[in-house]
Amino acid sequence: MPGDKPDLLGRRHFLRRCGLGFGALGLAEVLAAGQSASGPHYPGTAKRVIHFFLNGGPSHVDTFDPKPALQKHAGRELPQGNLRTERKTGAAFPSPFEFKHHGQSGIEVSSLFPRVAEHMDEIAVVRSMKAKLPNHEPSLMLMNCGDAILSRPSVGSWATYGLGSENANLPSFVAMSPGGYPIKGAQNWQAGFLPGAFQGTFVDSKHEQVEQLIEHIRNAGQSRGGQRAQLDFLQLLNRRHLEKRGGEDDQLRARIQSFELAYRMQMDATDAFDLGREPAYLRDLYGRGVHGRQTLIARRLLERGVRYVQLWHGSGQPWDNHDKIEENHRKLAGELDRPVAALLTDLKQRGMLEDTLVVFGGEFGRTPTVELTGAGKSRLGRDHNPYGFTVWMAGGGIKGGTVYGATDEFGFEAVEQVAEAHDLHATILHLLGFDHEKFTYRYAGRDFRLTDVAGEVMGEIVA
Amino acid sequence: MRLLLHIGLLGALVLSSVATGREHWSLQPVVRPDIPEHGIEDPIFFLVGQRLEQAGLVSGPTARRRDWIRRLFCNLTGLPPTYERLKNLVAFPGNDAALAAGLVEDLLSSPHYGERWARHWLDVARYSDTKGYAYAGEEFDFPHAWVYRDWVVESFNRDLPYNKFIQRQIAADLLLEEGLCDRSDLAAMGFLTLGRRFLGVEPDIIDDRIDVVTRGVLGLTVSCSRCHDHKFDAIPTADYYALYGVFKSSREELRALEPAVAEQHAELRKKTETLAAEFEKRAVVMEKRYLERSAEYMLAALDISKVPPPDFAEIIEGDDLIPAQIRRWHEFLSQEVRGEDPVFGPWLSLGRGESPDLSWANPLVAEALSVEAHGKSLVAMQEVAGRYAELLQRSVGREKDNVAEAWRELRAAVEGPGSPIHIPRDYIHDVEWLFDDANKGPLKKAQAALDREVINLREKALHALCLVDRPVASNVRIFGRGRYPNQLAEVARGSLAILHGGKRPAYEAGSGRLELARELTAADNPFTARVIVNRLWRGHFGEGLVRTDSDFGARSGRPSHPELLDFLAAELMEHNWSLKHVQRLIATSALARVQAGNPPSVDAGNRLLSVHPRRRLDFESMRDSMLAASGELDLRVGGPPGELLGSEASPRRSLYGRVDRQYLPATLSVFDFANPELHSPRRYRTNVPQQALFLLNAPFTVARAQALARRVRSTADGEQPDGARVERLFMHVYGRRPTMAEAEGARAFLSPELEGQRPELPPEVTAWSYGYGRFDHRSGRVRKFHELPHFSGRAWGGGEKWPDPALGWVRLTAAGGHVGNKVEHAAIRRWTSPVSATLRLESAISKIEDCGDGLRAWVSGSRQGLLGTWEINFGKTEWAGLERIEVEAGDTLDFIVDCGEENNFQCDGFEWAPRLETVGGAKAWDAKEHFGGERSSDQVLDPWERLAQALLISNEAMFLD
Repeated sequence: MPGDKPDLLGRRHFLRRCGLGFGALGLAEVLAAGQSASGPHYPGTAKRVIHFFLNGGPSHVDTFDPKPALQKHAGRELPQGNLRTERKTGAAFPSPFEFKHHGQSGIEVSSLFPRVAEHMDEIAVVRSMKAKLPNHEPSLMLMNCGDAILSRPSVGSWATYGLGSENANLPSFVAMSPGGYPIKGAQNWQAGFLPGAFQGTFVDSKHEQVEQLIEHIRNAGQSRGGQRAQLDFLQLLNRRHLEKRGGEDDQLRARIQSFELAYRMQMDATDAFDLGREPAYLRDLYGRGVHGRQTLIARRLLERGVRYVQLWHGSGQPWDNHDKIEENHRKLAGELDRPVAALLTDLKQRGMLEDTLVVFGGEFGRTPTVELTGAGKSRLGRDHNPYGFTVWMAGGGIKGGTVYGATDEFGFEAVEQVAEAHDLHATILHLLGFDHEKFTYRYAGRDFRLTDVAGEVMGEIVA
Repeated sequence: MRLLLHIGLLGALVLSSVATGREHWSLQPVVRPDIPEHGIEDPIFFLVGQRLEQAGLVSGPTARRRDWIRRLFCNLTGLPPTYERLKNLVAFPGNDAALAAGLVEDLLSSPHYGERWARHWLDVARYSDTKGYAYAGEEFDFPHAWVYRDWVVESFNRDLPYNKFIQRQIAADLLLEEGLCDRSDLAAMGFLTLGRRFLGVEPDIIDDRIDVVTRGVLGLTVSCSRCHDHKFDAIPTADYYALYGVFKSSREELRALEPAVAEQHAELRKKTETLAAEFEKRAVVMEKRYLERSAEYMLAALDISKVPPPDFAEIIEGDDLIPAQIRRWHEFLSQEVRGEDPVFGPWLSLGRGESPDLSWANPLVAEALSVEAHGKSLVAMQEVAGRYAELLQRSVGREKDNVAEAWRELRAAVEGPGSPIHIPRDYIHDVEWLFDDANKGPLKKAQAALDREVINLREKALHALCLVDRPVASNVRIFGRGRYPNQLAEVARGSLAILHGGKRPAYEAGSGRLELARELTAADNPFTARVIVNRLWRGHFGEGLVRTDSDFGARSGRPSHPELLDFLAAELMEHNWSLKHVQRLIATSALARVQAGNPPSVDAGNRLLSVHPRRRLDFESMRDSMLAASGELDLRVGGPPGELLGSEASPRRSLYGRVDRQYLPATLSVFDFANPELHSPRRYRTNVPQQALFLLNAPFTVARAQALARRVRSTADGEQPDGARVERLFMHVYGRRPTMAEAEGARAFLSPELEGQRPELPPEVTAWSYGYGRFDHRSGRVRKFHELPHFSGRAWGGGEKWPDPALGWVRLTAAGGHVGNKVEHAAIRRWTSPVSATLRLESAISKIEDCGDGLRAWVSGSRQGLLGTWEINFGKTEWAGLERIEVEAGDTLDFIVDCGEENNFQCDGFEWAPRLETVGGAKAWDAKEHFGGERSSDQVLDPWERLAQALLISNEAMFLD
C-alpha cells in the first residue's frame, strides 16, 4: 500500500537529495566514523532475505533428499558403516514418509511438505550441505556467523551493514522466534565486531501485542497525544540548545531527528505487526497458528524495507528429534508447510519473490540410521548429522527447479558438489550484490570476511 | 611510495617486511621532544598549538567555565557536578588555570575517578561476569569476576604505577612468590582468565589471552600470526607460538584471597573436599586406564596428523582412545629435550626408522630393546611399544628395587609432574579433556557446586581466578596454518622478536609469564607507554592521537601529534609510570578548556583539535547522570554486580551492573556498550532511533523521571510553588537555572489541558472484561460479576502474586486462564456488545494439565441465559461454537469456567479464547488478539513527571560540550 505513505517517501527522497539519506540517518554517526559499507559491489538480484531456521536440525532424508536405498537396507547395518555422530546409531532407518516428484522439474519431496512441494519449480535444493561438528551450538554459530567457536558477526548483520537501511522507522534486521530464544540466544544474530546497530532485533512472536513484541515501543504512562506534546517540548529544548551552539552540529541535529524517527517507529512498528490489517483470506492462507502469524508479520516487515528477517521455529531446538521422528517431524512440518508455501505464493503475487531471497534449513541434518538407547534399543529417531544435509533457497535470483549436489546412496555424507556454510554465505552475499572476497571489515588489524578464507558461490543455482 | 612498497611486498618474505617494518614510527624509541622555554608552562597546549600554526589554524576560544568544569567532572569521574558545586566552582576568584589545577586534584583523589577509568580498562580487558556459553553442568557465572573489577578500580584510585598494574595482571602469582605484591593482587589476573571459555577449546582460550595482552598492552595484532606470518608487521608465527608456550605452561586456579577466612565457611570446605575426593577417585580410574593402554597411546602419538585437533566436538565412545591423551603423549614425546631422554630417546630413534644408541639409554629400556635379550629383531613398533608399556607398568611400586635409579626414571614417566600418564589435580576446566564423558560430568558438577558456593558467599570469602605455572613448563611447536595437527618446528617460550631488535630471547623461569610481564613494561619497549597514554587521551578527547588504538603496527596511521604522544609517554615513564600524573597534565592543560564546536573544513575530522569535540555521553555516564539528577544514585564503591535496567534496576553506578556476555541486554548493544566477547579498543558512537525509544519509553527512564519529579516537589520548607519546582528541575538536570523563555515553555507545557491521559485502548479490547463469580444453575446466569482487580500485562488476577492471598488461583490470560479455588470463584471472561448484531462464536476449550479432576464451562448471555455447557477433561479439546447469537448494544456474553462442586481446583488451568464474529465476518472480537487492559503497575505520568523526563533525555543533558 504505497499510497499510505507519500509523506514518508517524499521526505526520504528529500533527505537523500540533501546528502543525508533518511535511511542513513540512523547511521550518520557511523558513517562519519567511516564504519559503514559503501553499498553493494554490483546490482544484486535480491534486496532482502527471509530465512526460515529449522533449529534443532531437520532430517533431510525425510524431507527433501529421498533415499530409496534405505528401504532396501531397512533394519540392516549400512554396508559402509555408520559415521560417528553425537550418539550411537544403528541400522538403516528408511523414511516413513513417501516421496513424490513435483512440478516440471520433478524434484522429489516427501509428504511432509505437500504445499511447499507445489513450488519446487521456484526452488533450488542444495542437497550437499556439510557442517563441521555434530553439536547444536557450534553448528548454529557456523551457519549464522561462519565460525563455530569464535565471535563473528552474523549473516544478517553483514547484510544490513552492507546494504544499509531502507526504512529507518523499523529495525533492519529482525529475528523472530515464538516462545523465546533458540539455543545460543542472541549470539545467533550478533553483530560481533560490527557496531551494535547491526545486531538483529529479537521479537518473541508468541505475543500478539506490540509492546510485548518490541522492547520500549510504547509508553504505558501517557497517551499518544500526551507524548507528542512532551516530544514537542523536548524538541523545543533541543532546538534552543542547538541554536546556542551555532546551529550547525550534525550530531545534535541527528539526535533531534532520531526522536522523530522513534516517535514514528512506534506507529510504523505497530502497523507492521498488526495482522488485523491483513484480509482474512490471507490470514487463512498463512494459517492462524503462531507460525502463520510470524510468517505474515515477516512479509509485512519485508514489504516495509526490513532487510533481513530470520524466522526460528521456536525456543530451544524443536527439530531435534532423537526420538519418534515420524510423529515429531509430522507435527513440526505441519506447522511450517502452510506458512512457507503461503509466503511463496504471496510474494509471487506481489512481485516481491524476484528480489526476495527465501532460505530454508537448519544447522545440520539427521542420520539415515536409527538412534539407539544406551541399551542398544531403537529410539525411532535420528541423531545429528553434520556430514550431509539439505538447505533450499528460492526467489531473489535463484534458479528454480534445480538440485545442487548430492549425498551418498544412504544420505549420510555429502559427496557431490559439497557445500559448506561459507559457500552458502558466499551465494547469499552474491545475490545481494556483494563479492564475498571483497566484502570486508577492518578489525584488530585484519580485514575480516564473513567467509573467512573460503567460500565459493554456487553458480549453478544462480539464475 | 611507502604504500607501494608495502603492497609490493605483501605476502613476500618476512625479512622484507621486517625491513620495512623497522622504519615504522611505533618501533622507534620514545624520544622526549624539545620544548622551548615559552612552551614549558603547558607543553600539551604548546605542541597542539604548534601543529595548528603549521596548518594555518588557531586554537578556538576558551569555553565557559561551567562547560569545561562539567567536562572535567565527566571525563575524570563519569559523574556530573551538582548545581551547588558547579556554582561555587564557577565563582572561583582566581584564574582558570588555578581553578583547573585545584579541581583536577580533587577529582583525581575522588574514589569515582577509579570507577570511571576502570570501565575504560574493562573494555580493553573484555570484562564479563559470565563465561558465555557453558555446558555439562558447568557454572555459568565466573566465581567473583567482580573482584577483578574492584581491583582495577582500586588500582586507578591509588595510582598503582602502570608498569606494576600490567605486571600484576600477567603474573601476580609469581610476583607474590617473590614478595613483590600482596595476596590481594591475585585478583589482577582476571585480565587473563575472564575471557570467553570457547567451550573449553584450549587453542582458542590461549589465542584470546594472547590477543588481550598484545592488543591491550602493546597495541600489536599478534593474533594475526596464528596461521601465517603477520602480513604487515614483523611478527612471525614463531612469535605467536612462543607466547602460546607461555600460556600453555600456565593453568587456571581458583584461589581464596584470604585462605584463613575462607576456611571458616563449613559449606565451602565441604564442597572443596567433595570435589577433591571425587577428583581423586576419577583421576585414578583414568590414570590406570592410561597406564594399561600406554602402548596404544604411544603408537597413536607417532602420527599426530591423524589425531583430531583440540575441539569441543570430540566424540568418545566406549573403548576409544581419548584424543586429548594422544595429544598429550605427542606433546610429551615431541619436545626437543626428549631426544636425550634415556627412557624415550630410543623410542624416538626407532620411530624415525633409525637404530637407537642404547649405550646411554636407561638400562631397563636398553635391556628390553636389546636383540640379545629376546633373541629376535624388533620389526614392528607395536612390539616396541608393548615392551615400553610393560616396563612402565612394572615401574609402579618398585621403590625398593636394587636397580632403583633405572626404575625411578621409568616411574617418573608414569607418576611424575609433566608425565603423560599422571593427571594433575588441577582446576577441572584445565584438564577436563583427559576424562571421558562418564568421569568428566560428575567432576564438572562438583566444581559447579563449589563455584556456586563461592559466588553466594560474595564478600564473605573473596576469591580470584588466577593463572599459575604448571609444574613443568614446555615449549610448543608451530601449528602450520593454525591447525594443530600440522606440528612444525618447536619454538622456545618467549615473546616478540620485534621487542628485541629481531631476535627473541628464550624465557627460562617456569612458564615465562614473569619475564613476559617485565618485557611488556621495560623502559625501552616503545609500545606500552605510547599505547596507554593514547588510551588516556581518548578518554578526554573522544579520539586517540593514534586512531587505531589497539593497532600501532605498520598499518596504523601516523599519530596526529607524534611529539605529543612521545612527550606523554616519556612523562609517564619518567614519573614512575604514574597515570594520574599524565591525567593531570592533560586535564589541567588549557587544551582541555577549549570551547566545543565544529572544526574548520580544512580539518573536518578535528585531528588538530582547534575545537573541543562535542560528545554524547556513553551509556554508563548517561545512566549515572540520570540517577544523579533524580537524587537516587547510590555511590558506594565495589562489590558484587546488580541489575542495570528494568524496574528492579540497582541505583548504583553502571559500572556495577552485571555484564553477561551470553545474554547482553539489547539496550546495551543499542547504546554501543563494549562487546564483552572481544577486546574493545574503542566504543562506537551510533545514533539510532532505538536509543530514543529507550529514553522515551523504557521503565528505567520513566522511573528516573518520576523520582526526579518527587525530588523537586518539596523541600524541608514544604511543598514548593511551581516556579521553584521548574527551577529545581533545571538545576538538578543541567546544573543551572532556566532562562526566562525556558521557564515559560515549561509552564506552558504544564498547563492543564495537556495533562497526560492513559493510553487509549482500542474498542475491540475494551469490549472484554475479566472477573469472577458464581454460576447459578437455575437462572443460567452469573450471580454477580466481580471484576478482577489486577492486570500484570499478561494476566488479570487477584493481585501482583499468583495465587493471590485473597482470591487464590483465579485468573485470565489471552489464551485461557485458571479457575478459582471454589465455585464462587469461577473465572469469567465477559464480552459487552458495542453493537446490535447477529454473532457467531468459535472457540475450543481444553484443560492444560493431566491431573486433578475435570472442569465445567458455560456460555451465558444477558439476554438469552444459558447458551452452552461443556465438561472439560484433560486430553480432549471441546469445540465450543454457537451460531446466530442475537445481541443488542450493551448486552453481555459471559464465558465461565469453574472447578466443579467438589471445589477441587488442583491443576485446573485451561485454554479458552473465544472469538466472536458478526455474521459475514465484517467485525470480530478475538479474546486472544484483543486481550489487554491497563496494567495495574502503570501509572499515568503526571505533567511534572513528563516535564522531568523531557529534561533528562534532552541534548543538553546527553551531550558534553
